[in-house]
Amino acid sequence: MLQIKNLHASIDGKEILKGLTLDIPDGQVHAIMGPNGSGKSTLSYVIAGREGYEVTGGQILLDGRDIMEMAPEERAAAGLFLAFQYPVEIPGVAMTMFLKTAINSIRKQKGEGEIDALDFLKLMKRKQAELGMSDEMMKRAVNVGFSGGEKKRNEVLQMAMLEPRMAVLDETDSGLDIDALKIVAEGVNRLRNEKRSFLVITHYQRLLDYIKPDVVHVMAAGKIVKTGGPELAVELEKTGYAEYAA
Amino acid sequence: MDKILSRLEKIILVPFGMAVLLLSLHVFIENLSIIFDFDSRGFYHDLEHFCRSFGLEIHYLYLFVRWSLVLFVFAESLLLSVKIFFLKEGKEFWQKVLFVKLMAISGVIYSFYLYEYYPKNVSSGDVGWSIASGKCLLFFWVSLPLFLIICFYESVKQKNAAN
Repeated sequence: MLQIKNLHASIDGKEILKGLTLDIPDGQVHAIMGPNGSGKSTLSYVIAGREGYEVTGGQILLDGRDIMEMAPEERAAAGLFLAFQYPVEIPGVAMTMFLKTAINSIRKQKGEGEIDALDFLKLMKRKQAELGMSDEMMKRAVNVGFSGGEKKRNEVLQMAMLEPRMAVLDETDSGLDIDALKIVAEGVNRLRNEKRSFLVITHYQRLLDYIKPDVVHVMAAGKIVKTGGPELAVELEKTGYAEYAA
Repeated sequence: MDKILSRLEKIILVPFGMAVLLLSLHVFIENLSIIFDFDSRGFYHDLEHFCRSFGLEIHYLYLFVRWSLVLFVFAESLLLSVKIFFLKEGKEFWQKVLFVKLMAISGVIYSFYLYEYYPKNVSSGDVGWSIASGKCLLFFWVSLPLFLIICFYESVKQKNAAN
């Protein structure tokens, strides 16, 4: 599914990722944990193709295709989804309209026909029912006036609508209380299947209590320094990152 | 006929037109905040990244802005047309207004054409072009009230001359 080989990336001339290698097979959930400044968010931005980050070496392959030369929207069409740590608010643009346009843009890039309004609404209702979400949020402008929890729940619905092959969740637990965390985790778990993989980036083990990872990686100083099972997250919760930050 | 139309205008057209205008203006001003808020907070870049990660090219956002603008101009022009062709008041003055409005509509349609087709021929999500277009829209919105003030001044002048 997603293969990252010896990735080097820098911003403003400062190298952040220093030879990161990661392999996420189909259907697996991998978690990356690490101290502040280890490059976790940079990794998510580089995978999604955010401008301003210079990739100085390595490869990122999605389903065997090199995505390094693809524009961010092409990566989205290839099946990549990034759940933002701080989702952007877009006043004046209704969530429904935004999602419909996004889906049609992706379909267009794939050479498929546009989804009509009726089919879109049916799809949206079905996904909302699957995730147990109300449609009240969909009538509002994109993320405007949403609480932290609502934004994250909204992201889960967006992910369900776009049906990505690979989803990167960048510190999706930040700013969430326990109840919101459970709701979001439950939504993510419902989207798990044998063809969809997740990369969950987080500081804390508590998210991984609800989204059970197959593999946990520790990231420090721009690369993966340790890999293990879910027990690694529990161990990190007890010992902290001091060992890796040194 | 004049009385009926006058009542019709007061009862239906004016409130309806005002509602449409206020709504589209509200949406448009909110969208403007997106366009011109980016320098201080890096917001534009976040917005661009956000949209593109959803598979959207950045010019789609400006499509929303465009339509609110088109709606505004269309509604206003419709009201003015009714005034000119049925209400007979200040026909000459309103004809001038209509002329400029039609020019504005042509400009908007032309902008629409450029937005819709130009970025695809240059590169996907051509940010520079989008910013430039946003500034053109701001120019339009600044010039529109100025124009209306000038028209109002002209109208007062004509009335004074008639008296």
